[in-house]
Amino acid sequence: MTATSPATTGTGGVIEPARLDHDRRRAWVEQIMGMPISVHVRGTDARGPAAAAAAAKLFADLREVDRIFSTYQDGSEISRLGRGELTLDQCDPAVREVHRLCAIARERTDGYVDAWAVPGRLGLFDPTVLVKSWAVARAARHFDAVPALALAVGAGGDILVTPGDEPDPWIIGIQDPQDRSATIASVPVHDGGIATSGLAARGAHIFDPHTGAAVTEVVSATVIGPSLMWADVWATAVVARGAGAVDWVPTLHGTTGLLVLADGTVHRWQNAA
Amino acid sequence: MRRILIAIGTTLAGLVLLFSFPTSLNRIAAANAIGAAAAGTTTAAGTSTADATAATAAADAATAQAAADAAAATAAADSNAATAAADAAAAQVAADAAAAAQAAADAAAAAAAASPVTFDGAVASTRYGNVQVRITVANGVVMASDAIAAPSGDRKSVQITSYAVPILNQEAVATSSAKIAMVSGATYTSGGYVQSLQSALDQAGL
Repeated sequence: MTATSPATTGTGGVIEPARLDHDRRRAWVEQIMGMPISVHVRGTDARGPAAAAAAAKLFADLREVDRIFSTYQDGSEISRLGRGELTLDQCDPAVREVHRLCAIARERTDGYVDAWAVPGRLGLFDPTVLVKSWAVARAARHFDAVPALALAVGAGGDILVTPGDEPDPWIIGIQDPQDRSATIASVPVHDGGIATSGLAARGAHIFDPHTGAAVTEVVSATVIGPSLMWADVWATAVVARGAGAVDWVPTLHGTTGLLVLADGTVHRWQNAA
Repeated sequence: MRRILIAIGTTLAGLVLLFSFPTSLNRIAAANAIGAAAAGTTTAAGTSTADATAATAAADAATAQAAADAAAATAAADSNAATAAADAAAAQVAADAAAAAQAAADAAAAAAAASPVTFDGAVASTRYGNVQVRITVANGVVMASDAIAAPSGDRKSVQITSYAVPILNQEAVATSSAKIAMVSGATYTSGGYVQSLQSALDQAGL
């Protein structure tokens, strides 16, 4: 599990590699929104106080988002909006922003990602499908205070990375949907988002909004692109589309990805920007 | 004068938005495969690579975050419907997009001619360093656009270039042997985290 940083290669043992690596890396993990949020940094000041402060602000930011958007808390703005106690205009500006993004996502996915057609909550606005990745991308801004650090934020399987001043990309593993302890591919990414949707972790939980039926044809879809939120939206849409997604992914320009069909077939794509 | 400039800027931004939607869905994507090939041919043949003076596709590659979305900036340039899309690994806000559209319009005007021609935009200074965008135009349609490294050879620009479309490694990898820092998988909950690969990877840096 020892990850080798570039600084250790070719040093000829002048500095003990593991120690150097330790000084240049730091990770934090907290459980927010019912899932683990992993924050990793690489760089000279990885263990400095500014990085720790930025991580704390990132986590606080996500907790605030959870407080506003949680569909599990009766007092959240989303719950109150659903009950008609608040109008959209009375909500936090973040709610209005997400509301707009959900409308765009619905249009750009031909309705396969639809915050207004969540099973059991039909007609109610439930932005859960994209709020997590939107929030992570927004919270990552706190690391602007330590711009030299390379940053990777993982949120329950979706990942945002930024390069800082580090020459090496982040290496992201893509989980094997059949075997959660293994990866089926890896991808180096300097800057952008990696999102995977699938049926592996929670069984069939993605629905075709047009029919309300659980989808099963695509067991996993990973999208890598410049924006974490859109990578997340595309990945969900690919799974929701079923086998037809193979013909749809060429339209996702500027993205790389792979999808795994139920029979184990792996389809990859790599589209120019 | 200032009002005129604002009016022009607004119009360009409007054009960008107007044209970006259809292109973002179909046309550019469909053209990509051909475009990539065409670009390759052009470069290899070395026949018609125009230089950068006319084109100023300034793109803020720092905003790669927003890129795929704001991707295509299209501008109709003349009655031949020479259209150019400055599909930047960038284009953050209307201001940037307008600059790119201006560049694309200039490029298209120059390129209304024939076979694929590439244009290099002016170097834009971004928070990630200097960035330059190259677009490939054929028959008045932008076939491809790429972020290219700035002449300075700035390290960060090279990163952005290599970032443009990350390449998936074809083979399965053993997590322990690779330098994997994060694992992307279907959403897992806090309960599933304990057994997850990510949990193990986090341990290394805690």
